[in-house]
Parts: sequence; structure tokens; C-alpha cells
Amino acid sequence: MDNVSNRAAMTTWLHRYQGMPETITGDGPTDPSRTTGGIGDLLQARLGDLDFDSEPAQFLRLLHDLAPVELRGDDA
Amino acid sequence: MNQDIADLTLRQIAEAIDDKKISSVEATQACLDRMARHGPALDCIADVEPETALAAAATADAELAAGDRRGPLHGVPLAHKDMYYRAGRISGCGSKIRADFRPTETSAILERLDAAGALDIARLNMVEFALGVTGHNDVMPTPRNPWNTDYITGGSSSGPGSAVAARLIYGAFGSDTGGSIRFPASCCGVVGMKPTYGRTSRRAAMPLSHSLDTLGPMTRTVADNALLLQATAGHDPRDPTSSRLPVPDYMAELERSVGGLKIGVPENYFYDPVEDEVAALVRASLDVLTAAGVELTPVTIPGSITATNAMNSLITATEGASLHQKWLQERPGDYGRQTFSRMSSGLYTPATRYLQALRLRPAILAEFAEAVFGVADVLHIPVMIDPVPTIAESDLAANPGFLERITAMGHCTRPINYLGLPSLTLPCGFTANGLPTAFQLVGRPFDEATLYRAGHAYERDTDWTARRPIS
Repeated sequence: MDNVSNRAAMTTWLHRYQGMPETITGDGPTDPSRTTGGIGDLLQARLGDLDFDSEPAQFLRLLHDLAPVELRGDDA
Repeated sequence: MNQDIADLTLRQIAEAIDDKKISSVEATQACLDRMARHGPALDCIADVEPETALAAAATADAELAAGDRRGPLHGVPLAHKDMYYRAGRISGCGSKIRADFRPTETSAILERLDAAGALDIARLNMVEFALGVTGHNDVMPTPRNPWNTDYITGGSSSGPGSAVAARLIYGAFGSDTGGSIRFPASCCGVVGMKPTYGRTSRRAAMPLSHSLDTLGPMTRTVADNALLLQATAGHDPRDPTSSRLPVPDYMAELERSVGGLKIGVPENYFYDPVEDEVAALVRASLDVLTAAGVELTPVTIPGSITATNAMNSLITATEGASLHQKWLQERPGDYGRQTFSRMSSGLYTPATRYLQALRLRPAILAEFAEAVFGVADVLHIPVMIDPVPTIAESDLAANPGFLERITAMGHCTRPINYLGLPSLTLPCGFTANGLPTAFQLVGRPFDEATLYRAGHAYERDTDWTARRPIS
């Protein structure tokens, strides 16, 4: 019964916020806790490591900075 | 004669064509013969047009005879995962939804392979929209493992893994968002390079997750792999995420000594869920590397690594859902059940959590790099956590209980995509079921050259990549 009501609640949420049809064929969407179970807790636990000024684009810069010195040349 | 030609490595056939000892037509015919003979049983070929392929090969031979060598891959037949766009040609992406899709531009990877002289003779089957680790495809053929067709190839570059291992083709490009080059390389016993994020252009190749997607070669040997990456790596002004860093001479790097190279061996995390039989084979490969002159050093992996598998999945599902939302809404019945289910799960992700997962990347990468590359040049880890499973036992429709193992399959691979690092997968033996397994060498960003050097040294002292699954 819980699964049925969960499925109904998920379908309603998807319709309201993502515009998905209310009648979804097949098995419907995966319960997100199945594929990313615990991700909320994992992220919550790491929030303290997040510098206020960090942004995703810094990742590309860091990849570059960690490259072998001989490739970075004058930029090293 | 054709069997002998098909047995040559990519590097050997390229040299033989250049020396005019073997023609491109002969090489292409050898591949076509094997595709005709083994393709149906392996279900790895999405499409091949023999007459077109042979015409291209004849042109390559004529050019060479006239002294016009286009590049180091002149006349070499290749085939790729069916997600590399070529203007005017169908690129089905392993799906019903794009079964008739004809792109209007050609991918950067194919353009560069064309410029190097390679032929592109077939499209290879893949997991639907590249979302899946086992190789199952509910809407298109599921490729078979040439070592035993009851077993999975690994996914999502399932066709390339099967076709390269079975010597239907000399090399192929796959894609890797969470392990999609490394799983089939491990399951099928071939060499796979997942390059650094940004090392190869993603332009006009089907996207799954912009933040994680990488495109790389799958081949029978390390040298073959280096040849293909050499021809394709480097900045593409039309892919803003591609790096401007120069591309080293990978082939020259292959012959350098590995004496003194420090290989890190993890003391925690990576082996935690790995089955003993697989772990023993992976650890045994360290003995070969040690004999070749490398130094082993223990590495403590930072605790933050434990979050990276799940964060990779969250980013993939969320970015995938953002790409697919229109089709998810309008054509849900045209997706395979598993693909629809996984892809649509990304619609639930709170935007704040998605952005936090991306914002954490620099901090976790910095921590990982300091711990690993502060003491070692390369990290040595498993790929798979289990021996290769059968297609039947890993079919979630029939065996939903296998989901837990499938989720865990990314334990050693998804973190590497999240960190953006390069990783070379190399075969290292066979488990009791007769299927291959492999290890990964993970390097610092843009240091694919060192991975090739270490991998080549390993390969020189073993015969795994020379073994043939079928005659």
C-alpha cells in the first residue's frame, strides 16, 4: 500500500513541477532513493567542506593546474 | 589470409598498409568477413555497408599509390559506438527514439580520425542512450561477449568491446560517463582509455552528462590505443570544455623506461566490495609491474571518495533528465523500461543538491590529488567488483535483486569520472568462469602519457591482450 501511495505522490509531484503526464507507462520513474540513495545525507555531511565562494567552474581550472608541469609550460 | 590480417593489431595494420604490404581493401575485407561471420551471434554491429566500406578502402589505396598519405591511420578500418554523429548518416544512439536520426554535422572525433586517414566502416551497438553498465538494451540488440555469449559485455560501449575483442575491427571509440569504456574493456579483455575530462572534444557526439562525459578509444593493445588518442586529442574551439593544453607524443612515451615510476596501491576504499577472485588477479598484476621496475607505494584514499559514486549518479541522472525531458514526456513508451526509469529519476533532483554536488568537485579533487599524487605517479585499482555476470542473471526485468550489484559496479569507476581523471583499463587474467578481468591505472589530469607508458610495460611482459576469444 505504501508503495502505491508513494508512486501516486511521485506522479503528482512530477506532473505539478516537471510537467510529466499523470499517466506514466511501464514502471514509471525510479524512486530517486533507489539510484541516489543517501545522497542528501552525503551532501549534508560535506556541506562544511564547501567554501562559500566555490563554484563548479573552478573544477576545470583545478584540472588544468594539476596537469604535468611540462604540459602547462609558461602557465605553470 | 583474412584471418591473419584480422589478427594484426591496429599499429601493425597501419604500418603494413603504409608499407604497401597489405592494402586497405584487404584489411577492410578481412573485417567485413569477420563481421559477416561473427556479427549476428555477437549482435555488436548496428549497421555496416560493405560496398561503401570497400569503396572508401579502394580510394585510400589509390591515394597511397599516388603518394598521398593522409595521416598515421591511412586506410585503417575502424568502427565506433553508434553515438558519433556523421552528417547525413543515421546515429541511432542505441535507441528507438533516435533510430532514424540523421545529424547535420560530423563529430570532432570522426573529423580527426578522417583527417588521420582512418576509415569508418560500421556503427556499433550500445546501451540505450549510453545509460547502463551491463550492456543490456531493452529496445535494440544486446551485444554478446565473444569469450562466452551467455555473458554480458559490460556497458555502455558494449558493441565496441565485443567487436574489438572478437577482431571484427582494429579499434573503436566509446564513451565513458561512469565506466562505460572501462566496463566493456574489462569484461571483453581489451584496452580502454577514459581520458581526462576535456582531453578529447565532445562536439557532435551524443551527450549524456555534460559534466562527466568523456570520449576515448578501445583497442587490443596499449600502442593501438595511444595511436587513436594521438589522432584525436587536443583543443577544439567548438567544444568550450576541451582543454588548450598541448598533447604529448604518446607513441614516444611508450618506449620510455618505467624504472622508478611510483605506483600507488590503495589501502582503503577501492577493494572494499571487490570479490576475492577478482582482487587476487588485480593484485597479481602489481608483481608484473614491479618486475618491470616500478616502485609500489601505499596510498590512503581520503574519506570524501565514499560520496563520489553517488554524486556521479546524481549528476548523470539530473543532466540526462534535463536533456531527455521532452522525450520522457512525449514518448515514454519508446524508452526501455530501465532507461526510462533511471533517466526520469533525475527529474526529482533538487537544483540545490545538484549544484552542491558540482561545487564539491574541486575540494574533493584537491584532497584526492594531494593524497594520491603527492606520493605516487599513478594509482592502481580494480575495475569490476565481481567476475563478469551472465546476461540472464544481470537482467533486472527477470532478476530485480541484481540491482544492488549493478549499483555497486560503479564503486571503482564512477569516482574517477567525478574527479575528471584519466584512467587506462588493462586486462590482467581470467576468472574461473573463463571471462576476463582488468585493472585501472589512474593518472593525474592530462597525464595519459604516463598511463600508456606503464600500461605498455605491463603488456610487454604478459600475453593477455594477445589472446583471442574466437577463431
